[in-house]
Order: sequence, then C-alpha cells, then structure tokens
Amino acid sequence: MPPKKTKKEEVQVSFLPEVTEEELVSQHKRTAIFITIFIALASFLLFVILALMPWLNVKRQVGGVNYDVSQLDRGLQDVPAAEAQRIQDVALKVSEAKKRLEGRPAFQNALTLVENSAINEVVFKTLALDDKGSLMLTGVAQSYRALAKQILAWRVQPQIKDVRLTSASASPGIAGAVSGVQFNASLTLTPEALQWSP
Amino acid sequence: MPNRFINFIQAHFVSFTVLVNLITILVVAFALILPMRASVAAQKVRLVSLRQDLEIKQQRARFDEQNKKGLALIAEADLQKLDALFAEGATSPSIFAAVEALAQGAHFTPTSIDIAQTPTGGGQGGGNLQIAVQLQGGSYFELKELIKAILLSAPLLDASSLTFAGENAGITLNLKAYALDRASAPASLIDFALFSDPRFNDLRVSSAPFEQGAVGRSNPFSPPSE
Repeated sequence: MPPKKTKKEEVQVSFLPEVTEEELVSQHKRTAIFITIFIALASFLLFVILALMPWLNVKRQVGGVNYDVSQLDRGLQDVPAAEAQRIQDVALKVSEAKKRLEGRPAFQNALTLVENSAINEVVFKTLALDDKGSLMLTGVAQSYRALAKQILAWRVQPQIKDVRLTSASASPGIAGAVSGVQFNASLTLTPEALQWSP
Repeated sequence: MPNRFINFIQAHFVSFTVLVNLITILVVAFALILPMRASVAAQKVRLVSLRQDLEIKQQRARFDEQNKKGLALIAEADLQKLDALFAEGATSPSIFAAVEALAQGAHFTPTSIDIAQTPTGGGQGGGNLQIAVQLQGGSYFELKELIKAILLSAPLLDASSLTFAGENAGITLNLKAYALDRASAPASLIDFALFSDPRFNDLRVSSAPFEQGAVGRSNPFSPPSE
C-alpha cells in the first residue's frame, strides 16, 4: 500500500510592511527629486566657493599690507615729528640750494670783461647789464679812430658775441676841432661769459 | 497636483537637472560672481594704493634714518647758512636786512627796496621774489664790491639787471630771491655734497640775526626817545 502523500503549502512570510508597486514608484520619484536638489545645491555651493576664493585672497593681501602700513606708521612715530620735519626741511633746502647754485649769473665777469677790453682813449659813463648777456655802454672816445679801436678791442674778446654801435656823435671843441665822440654801444655776451665759477 | 508635478519631473529628469544647473549658474553669475568681481577689482585697486603708500613710507623711513646720520656730521654754521639761503614769503625781513647790509657794506645808501612775489603755483610761500633796489652814491670799485657781495650772499640773490649811472651817481639793481615751495616737496635723501661745494662754502650770511629789543610804545607816532 503506497504511503499517503500530504500536500505542503508554501507560505511567504515577511516582517516588513507590505509595499505596493505604486508606493515603490513614488519612493523612486522622491529619490530622483532629492538627487536633483542635491546636484543643484552642490553646483550652487561650488560657484559660491569659486566666487569667494579670489575675493578672500585679495582681502587677505589687503589685510597684510594694511598691517605693514600700520607697523611702519608706528615705526615712523618713533622719530619725533619735529625732528622728522627738520630733516625734511634740510633735505628740501639742500635740493633747492643745489638747483639755485647752478648757472648763477656773475655780473662781475662782465665788469672784468669791460675792464680788460677798455682802451686808454675811451672813458665809459654808464653801464646797463642784464642776466641775458645784454651789455649797454655809453661813453666818450677821444676820436672816431679811438672809437674804432675800442670796437676792435671788443670784437677780439671771445666772450663778446656781438658788438653794435647804436649812436656816435662828435662834440665840437675849440676852433672846430673834435673834443670827443659820445657813443652808445650794445654788446651781446656769450651765455658762458656770465656764468659764475668760484 | 504634487503627483502630476513629480510625474513631470520624473519624465524629464535629465532636462530638469540641466535646467536647474543652468538657472543656478545664471543666478550665481549675476547675483554673486559679478558683484564679487567688482569687489575684487576695488580691493585690488586699494591694494595697489596701499602698496604705493607703504613704499613711500618705507622710503621716507630709510631717508630719515640716513639723513639723520648725515646731518649729525654737518657743522651748525653750515646749517644756519643753509637756513639763511631762502626767503620766507614776500615780506621776508631777512631780504630787507640783507639788501641794506650789502649796500651799506659797499658804501651805497639804499633809497628804495621793492619786493614782489611771483608764485610758482605750489603755494605756501613758494616762488621767486623780484627785488627792485635803488642805491645812491658809490664808485665803480664799490659797485664791483657790491656785485661780488651780492653773489656771495646768503640769502641767495641773483642779479637780473644792473644800471650803473656813473661814478657816485647811483645804481639800479633788480635782484631775484627764492622762497621754498614746501607743498610739493617729496621726501628725499639729502645730498651732503653741497656742504663741500665751493659755491656753497663761499657764501656768507649777509646780515646778523635780529636782536629783538623792547616792544611796545605808548605813542608809536612820536620820535623814538633816547
């Protein structure tokens, strides 16, 4: 007699709450949204960081230089203000003095030139001179010949660039003789002629 | 409604992500990066200006230190002479005193001294002083003496024109004196070579320092009492 067969029934047992297909789809949708929002936020954050980096860098440098300036200011304050002012005052005066001592006009050079080129037959009466090298002389020569000699004496002087006689008139003397020739002369000196060198 | 929205997003997930990122880029670019760039540019300008400021101050500190050491070696008389070289404004008393002292030293009598200032634009007393001087008396030799004394005088006086009317007939002089322009003066290193320059060493202070006597009179219009 064959053994009696008994039918086994398989029953699946789950302790998890039962999830429907609809709920599973909804869960996937939420995950998708979270990922999207996460990517968006991450991008946003990345751009914020990228924007902030150079700004922070410059800000740091400005802070560093500001610190150096304040340190130096503190150092400068160690030199008393009056002393620093005096030093700068001397520096300015020295710089100005050097500038002003260059190429000063020395009028005595012109007077020396007049003396060195004067001849015996001429007497000068007035003199006008300026720092551009213009020298005007008035005087009396014994004769026109003497005046001509004077002009030649000026012309051989290397410091005299130009000689012009603006007027010459004879003064009548006794018995119609010439007692003297009054003249106005205009001389132009070279720029070096008036330069002062001690 | 939420379900329809979620369905829509799910259906266009890739497009949605790209769109959100693009919007983020645009928002960040306009709302953050552009103002930030402007701020960075402004900070950079400030940085350059601060560095220049720092450089000037560092240079000044170096100059002050070196100048201080150098000045300690200069004779006090030379520093006094240096101080006397320049006029202090148009009404500089030192100019009147110096011109009178120079004229009297060469046996001339000053009959008029007019001073006018020609500013150079720097302000604070900078610029040249034009001095017109009329002197009486004096021979040619005294004129030479006067011209030389003017050249070697402190304050610095440069003759710009001279008219000599003859022996003992008087002279007219136009002189230039110099005032300092402190406003535009940068910090600088002192060139101590000036103190060994013969052109500086030959200069002589033209008038003695003022001795301030008694000040205050009950009748300033009366002749001075003995």
